[in-house]
Amino acid sequence: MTAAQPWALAALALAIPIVVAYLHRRRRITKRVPSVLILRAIAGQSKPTRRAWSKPRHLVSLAMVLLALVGLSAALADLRDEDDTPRDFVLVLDTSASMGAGSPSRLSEAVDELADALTGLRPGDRVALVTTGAQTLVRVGLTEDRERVLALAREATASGTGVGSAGALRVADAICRGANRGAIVLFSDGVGVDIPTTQCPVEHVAVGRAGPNAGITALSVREADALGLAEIYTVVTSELGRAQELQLTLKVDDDIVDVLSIDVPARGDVEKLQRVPLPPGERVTAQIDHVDDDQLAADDSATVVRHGGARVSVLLVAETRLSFAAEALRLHPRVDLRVVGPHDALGNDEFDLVVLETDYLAGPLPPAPKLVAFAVPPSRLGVAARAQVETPEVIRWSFDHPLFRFVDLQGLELPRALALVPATDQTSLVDSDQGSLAVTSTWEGRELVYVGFLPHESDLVLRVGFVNFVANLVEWAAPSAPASSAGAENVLSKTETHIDPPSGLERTVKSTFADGPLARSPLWTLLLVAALGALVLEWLLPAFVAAVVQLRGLWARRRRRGEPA
Amino acid sequence: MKIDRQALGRFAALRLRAPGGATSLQQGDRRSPFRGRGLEFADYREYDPGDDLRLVDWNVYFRLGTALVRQFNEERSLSIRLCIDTSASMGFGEPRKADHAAQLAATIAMIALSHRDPVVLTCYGGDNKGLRARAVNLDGLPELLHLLERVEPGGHGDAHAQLVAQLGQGRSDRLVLLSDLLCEEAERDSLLRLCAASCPRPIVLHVLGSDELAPDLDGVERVVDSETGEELLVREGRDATKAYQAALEAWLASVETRCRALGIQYVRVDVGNTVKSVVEGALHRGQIVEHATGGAQ
Repeated sequence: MTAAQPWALAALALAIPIVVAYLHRRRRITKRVPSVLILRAIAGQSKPTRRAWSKPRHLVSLAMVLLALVGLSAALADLRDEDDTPRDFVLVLDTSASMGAGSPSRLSEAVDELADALTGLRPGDRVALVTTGAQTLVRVGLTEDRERVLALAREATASGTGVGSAGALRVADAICRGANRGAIVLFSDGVGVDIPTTQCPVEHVAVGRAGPNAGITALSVREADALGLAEIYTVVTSELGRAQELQLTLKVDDDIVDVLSIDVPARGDVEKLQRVPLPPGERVTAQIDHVDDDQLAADDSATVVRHGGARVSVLLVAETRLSFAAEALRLHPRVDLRVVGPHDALGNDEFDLVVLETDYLAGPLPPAPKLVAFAVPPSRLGVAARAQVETPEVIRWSFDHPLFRFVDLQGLELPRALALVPATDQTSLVDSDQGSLAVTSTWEGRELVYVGFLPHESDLVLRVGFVNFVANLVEWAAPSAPASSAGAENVLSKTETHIDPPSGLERTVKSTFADGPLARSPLWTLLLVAALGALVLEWLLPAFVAAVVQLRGLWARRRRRGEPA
Repeated sequence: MKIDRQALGRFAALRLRAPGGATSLQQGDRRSPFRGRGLEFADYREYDPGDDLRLVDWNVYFRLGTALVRQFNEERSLSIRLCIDTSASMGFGEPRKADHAAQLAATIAMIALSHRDPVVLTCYGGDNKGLRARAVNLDGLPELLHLLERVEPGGHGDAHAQLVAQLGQGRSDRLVLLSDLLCEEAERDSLLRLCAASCPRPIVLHVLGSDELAPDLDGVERVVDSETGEELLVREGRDATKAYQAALEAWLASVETRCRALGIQYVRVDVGNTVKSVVEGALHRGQIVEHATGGAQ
C-alpha cells in the first residue's frame, strides 16, 4: 500500500477522543440535589431490558463511527495498491477568444481548475500542455514538473478561434498514445470546439456559463473608386437577449471617420454597407460601443488591413506631356507620376508601373514590376503582331479582368490598331473581328499588358471607362500590402461570438481529472457518507430531541410565570 | 449571601401596602385602628377622671353641660418581619436561591425603611441559630444588609423551632417568608400554620430554581439530598421526565392550595427572573407593594 498524503493518517488520532466520548457518555453519575422530595416520583432503576439493549447499540454505533473515521483517513491519505501505476495526462487548454468572456474570464477559471487538479495528482503522474486558439502549440511535453505546466498555462491569453481545437486534440492524441494509461483532458467552454475521433479518451472540464454578447463578426473594406471612396461592409452579431441600439465607430488607423447607430435584434445578425470617403491609412477598425452586459470584449472591435491604399510611382513615356493618359494618371490621388519623352535620360529610379505610349529610346527601361505598352513596336516586348488593321470591331474583352473593371469597350471607335497574335504563354484580353487587340504576358520578369492601339486615337479617352481603366492600372500596379500587416487583421468568427457553452461535447467523457483523488475513490466516498450518517443518527438526532425537550420546558415555565400569583 | 446594594435605590418610589392598618408601637404615617393623639379627629367620648383636660371640648360642655373628650386617629408605622430560609437547599440554583431571596428581602426592607416602617429580619432553617436584626429607619438598613451578607446557606436546622423562638418576641403587621419550602409535608404544614398564626396577613415568597423546575438528570443514576443526605436511585428518559413534571405540578399546586387555605398570600418566584421584574411584576400585581405617590408603575 502507498499513501499520497501520509500526513492524513494522523486523523486516526481522532479515534481516541471519540472512544473517550462514548465511554464517558455512558457512565452514570451521582448528583447532589437540593431535595429528593419531588424526585421520589421517578425513583427506581431503568429497565434492565433497555439497558441491556442500549449497551450493544452504542457499541455498534461506536464501531460505525470508527470505521468511517478509518475510511475518511484513508481517503485523505489516498491509500492505494502499489501496482497502481502512475498515469499520464495531456492537458489541452482552449485559449480561443470566447475563453476571454466573463469576469473573471473563462480562461482564468480553466487555469484555476487546472491548478486544483494538478495539486491532486499522485506522485509519478505526468502532464503535458497543449494550447489551442490563435495557434496550436505544444507548450510542454509529458513532465512531472507541474509548476512549469501551471506557469505556462497562466501565461496563455485568449485570442483566435476554436477551429484549431481538432488539430490540437489530434496532436494531444499523438502524445497520449505513447503514454502510460494516458488520457486527454480538455479545458474548454466548448464554443467552436470540434472533437475528432481519438484513441485516448477525451475528458472535458467544462468552464463558463451562458451570457449575453454582441460582436463584429465580419469586416471588409473595398475601394469604391479611385478618389478615396470606400465601401465598408460590417456584420454585427447579437446574442444579447433583447433588442438594443449600438454605436458603430469606424476608424482609419486611429482617426474616427464615421459613427453609425445601428439597431441590433435580441438574437441575430445586422449587416451594414457604408460608403465613406476614407483618408489615407493602412488599417480600418470598426468598434461597437454602448453594449449592456457584454460578456466578451474581444469581438467588440475588428480590424482589417486596407489593401491598395499605398502610393504608386508611375513612369509615363509619351511624345507630349499633355496626353490623356498623363492627365488621367496625374489626377489619381495615389499616383506619383513622372512623364518623360522617348529620349529623356532616367536615373536609377525604380517605379511600380511603366506606361509606354511611345518607345523609350534613351536606354533600357527602368526597373518596374508592371509594364503597360500602347502600340509601341511589339517585337521589342516579345509580342507578335500580324498586321495593322483598319477599324477593328471589338467583339470580346475580359470584363472580369481587374484591368477592365467598370470598363466598357462595346462599340469602341477605333480607326486603326495592331492585330496581335498571342503566344501560348500569353492571354488575349481584347479580341476584335480582326484579331487580338490586347494581351497580357511577362517580359524580362515584368508583368506586361500590351495594347495594340493608342487610346487618344480612339474614342476611349472620351468615355468614363478610360478613367476607370487608368485607375485599374494603378490598382493593378499598387505594391502588395507588407507582410507585417498580415497579423494586424483581427475579425472574430461568428462561432466565437456565440459564447453560450454547449450542453455537452460529443465524443467526450466527464472529467475525473479535476475532481482530485478523493472523487476517484468511490469506496472512500461511501465511507465518508457512512461517517456523516452515523454522526447524524448517533449525536445530532438525540441532541435535537434534547433541544426540543428543553424548549418545551422553557415554554411551560414561561406559561407558569404568566399566571397571576 | 450576595447583595447588590446598587440595585436597591431604584425601588425608592415604592412602599408596602397596609390593608389592615398599622399596629406598630412606633408612630408613623399610616392609619391605625387605635384612637388617641393625632391630627385626624375621630370621635367624642365622655370624660373619665384622669383624662387630659386639654382634650375636653369646652364648647360642647358649655352648650350641653356634659364634658366630652375629643378622640383622634393615631398614625403608626407598619411593622414588617422578614424570614429567610438559609437551609442547604437554598444554596442551589443559578443564581443561588439564597442570593435571590436575600436580594428580595433587602429590597423589601429598603422599601419599608424608606417610609419608616420598622423591619425585623430573621434567618432560620440553617446551622446558624438566632440570627436576627432590627431597623426602624434607613439608618438601620446597613445592619440588615450586613446580616444578609454574613449568612451562608447550609445545614438543616429545625425550622419550626427556630421560627417559634423568633416570632415569640413580638407581633408584626406583615410577615414575609422567603423559602423554597423543600421539606416534608408535616414540617412544611406546621411552618405555614405558624406563619398564619403570627400575623394577620402573611406572605410566602416561594423561591424556586432550575433544580426544581427543570432538573438536568441526563446520565444521573443516583441523587443525594443536600439537607438530609438521603440517597435515591432515579430513572432517566422521557417517561421519567414526564413523571417528574407531573409530580412537580402536583407539589406546587398543593403548596399554593394550603397557603390559600391558611390565608397566606402565595407568590412564586423563579430565580431566572430578576428581582426588579419580581417586585414590579408579581409583588405589584399581588398588591404587596404600591407606588408611593399612587401613580401607575
